Amino acid sequence: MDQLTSLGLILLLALLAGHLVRFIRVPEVTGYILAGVALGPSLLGWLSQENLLAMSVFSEVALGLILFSVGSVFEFSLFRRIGRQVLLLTLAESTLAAAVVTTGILYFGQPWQVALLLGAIAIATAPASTLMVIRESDSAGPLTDTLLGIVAVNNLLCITAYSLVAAAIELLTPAGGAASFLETFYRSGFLLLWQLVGSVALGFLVGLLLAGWSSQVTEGGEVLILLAGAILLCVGLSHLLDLSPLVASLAVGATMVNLAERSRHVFGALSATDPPFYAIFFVIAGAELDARLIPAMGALGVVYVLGRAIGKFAGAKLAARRLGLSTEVQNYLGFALLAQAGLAVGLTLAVNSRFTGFAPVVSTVVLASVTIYEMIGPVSTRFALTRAGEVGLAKAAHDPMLPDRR
Amino acid sequence: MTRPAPANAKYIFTLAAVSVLILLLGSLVRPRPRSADQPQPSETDLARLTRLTERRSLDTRAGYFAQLADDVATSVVRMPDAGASGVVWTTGTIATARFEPRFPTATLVRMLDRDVRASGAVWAPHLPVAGVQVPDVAQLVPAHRAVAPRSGDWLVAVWRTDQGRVFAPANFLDVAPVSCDELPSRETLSTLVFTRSMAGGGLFDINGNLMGLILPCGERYAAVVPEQVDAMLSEAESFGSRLLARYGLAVGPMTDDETEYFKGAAGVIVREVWIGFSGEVAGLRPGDIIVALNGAVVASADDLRPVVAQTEREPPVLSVQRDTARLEITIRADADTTARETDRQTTAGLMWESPQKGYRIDAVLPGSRAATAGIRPGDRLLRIGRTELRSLDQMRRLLATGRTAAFVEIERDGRRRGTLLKQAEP
Repeated sequence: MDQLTSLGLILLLALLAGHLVRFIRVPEVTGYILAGVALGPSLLGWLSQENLLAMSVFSEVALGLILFSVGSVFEFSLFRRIGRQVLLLTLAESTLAAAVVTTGILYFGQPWQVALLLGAIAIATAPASTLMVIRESDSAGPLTDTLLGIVAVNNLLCITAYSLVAAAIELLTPAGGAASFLETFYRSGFLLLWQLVGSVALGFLVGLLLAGWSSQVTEGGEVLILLAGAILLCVGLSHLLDLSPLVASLAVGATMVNLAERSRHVFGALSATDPPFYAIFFVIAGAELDARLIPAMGALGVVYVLGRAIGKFAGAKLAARRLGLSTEVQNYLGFALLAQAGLAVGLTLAVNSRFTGFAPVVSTVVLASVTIYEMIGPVSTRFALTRAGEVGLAKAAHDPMLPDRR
Repeated sequence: MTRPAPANAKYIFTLAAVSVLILLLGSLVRPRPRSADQPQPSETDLARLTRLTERRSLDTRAGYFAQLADDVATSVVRMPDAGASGVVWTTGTIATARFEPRFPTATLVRMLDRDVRASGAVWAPHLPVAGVQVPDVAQLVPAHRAVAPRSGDWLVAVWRTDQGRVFAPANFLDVAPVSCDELPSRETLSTLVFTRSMAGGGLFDINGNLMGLILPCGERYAAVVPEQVDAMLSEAESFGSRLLARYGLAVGPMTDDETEYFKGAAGVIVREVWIGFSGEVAGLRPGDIIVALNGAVVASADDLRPVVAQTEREPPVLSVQRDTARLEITIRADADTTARETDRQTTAGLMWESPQKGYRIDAVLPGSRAATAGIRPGDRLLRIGRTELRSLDQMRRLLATGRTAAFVEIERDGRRRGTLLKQAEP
């Protein structure tokens, strides 16, 4: 199908699906994703692989904007208040999820490399759908704040864990013998450092540019141009330099929120105009899911899905109780952490090119599980927010994750 | 909200500088992607991919030639009665191949979209080509190309069967001499071997120019170049060819030796009589001397022209001198030669050949008087002078001395010809 036609179709059908699912009290995000699944190659086939490839630039921009928004949780005053608990909670839920998944996969007779890779990937929680559900339901409150912080940190943690595991595999698995130990160490270690430190550096610079310029720009439309330009620049440079666009965008948001006097203005302009991007983003994400993979995932897939959920639930609950957080947070934080999407898929692609031997198992398990998590994740997050009683508390024309809103 | 106090400016600037440094340093020392980092396709995968690519290019090539064949096929017709294809030669004429001694008179021409009945045909039994007149066809294919082809240039042969258009790509090799039924000619040599089913089809270059017409030439088929086909078609229009086509007769002026041998008889001598044609049916034989046509004296071959005129209604009556006798022979142009063919079929459904007559000549010494007279190995010797050969002794006796000249009749490829065996040099 022609690109523009399919784009129009995506937007209208996403809107329709969003309306439809509202009746059954399901987040609109899920509606978008389901519309994508229906339109995509695995079902109706109205969107071909070429369409998806051509529109991937929208996904890149949308993801950049989302992580930019998420980055605002690193605002000093907010993070000073909740930073410690966020770090502890993230460590607990991530470690437990990774541990349970790794143990389960090992138990089912897979090599340790596969188990560790899957464990590392299990850490990630999708920032996009989480943020969208929060926005859509106008949530505010302790659970919402904590949740955003956890999502931001746990993606960083996931990238770190994956890089460490990959380095370990390359160092411990006798490769072709061509590369020396030192070279392998340099390659793997550098990649880890570069993806974190380099990305943060890039994000900081772009954020600085954005913050400096935003004080000169007043009009809403111009702010949007500035923002879109900065995010595109950031994502593009990340690709060019082999950096992580995810971390870099996060860093742009964090820099911006701390340095710009008018950051609230910028974030406000963003949330007013970006919904079409997000609709496209989620429809494309849905179209790239392949529901036919689910039956193929087998026992390993079940172990991954269940193990990750158990780990997240238990970790969140234990840490929250230890920290003396409210029972709502204790009980429902786990539910809010289930969504999984882009980062997991991206890491699978990395596994495909780096560890061809383990790629088939990892790909099948992760891609099938992502299909499940992507669909139930937003519903589960919405459930958690509703049960915690935070839905609708941010009605006062504030973007939920805006700093200094109280 | 924390605001960047002026004191912080220095701090922020340092951070920015550090960031730039990190990025610069990092992109300098970052490991170049190893070739091994990319998934390498295996040898078999590579071979398979190569094969797929090659196959794809072959498919494209075949598609290209099919398109080309479709383009030129508007000029290629099917002639069901002649059992051959044909190429629109000039406006109103279709050139096709001829196999049987006689070309079918009422010919159907199957064009792309319709069937047309031919209004006439130009052919001769000694030419492999026939020109069929169809009033309403227009020439589409350029018959001559401007640029001489080079070895290896692509060609495509297009012909038509009852099932439809068929084509075969080929490469040009050369233009070489070829002899079609003793007729010197030239053919376009290509990588194709032509067969019976392709006869009458055309060989085209990739610009749609005609490079050759596929005709039977001796034991095989050759793509005769258009200029030679033109020459053959105009040869078919000549008096001699029309006489052959109509009556199966070839005539000529008498040589001095013949005048002497035939003791001063004046007229036109019959050199060839084609078996199965009306001349033979009427009883004419090689060596007969035509002295008058319908009572008018015949001094040269030109005096015989009326017999091939299209307007000729009455069957011509020839006065013929054979040895000492004077015969009056009436030849009917439309004599039913097929009747003789069916004679050979009995009610039992058996068909047979009449017994071979004469003696087959196995070899001819070069330079001998037989060779000078044009006798070749494979000819059958039927008659020497007046004597029909019945036994070997007879023949030995007649040829032994060689003191006298002898007019001999031989049979070759369905035609009888007469030639004068001169007397041996003393």
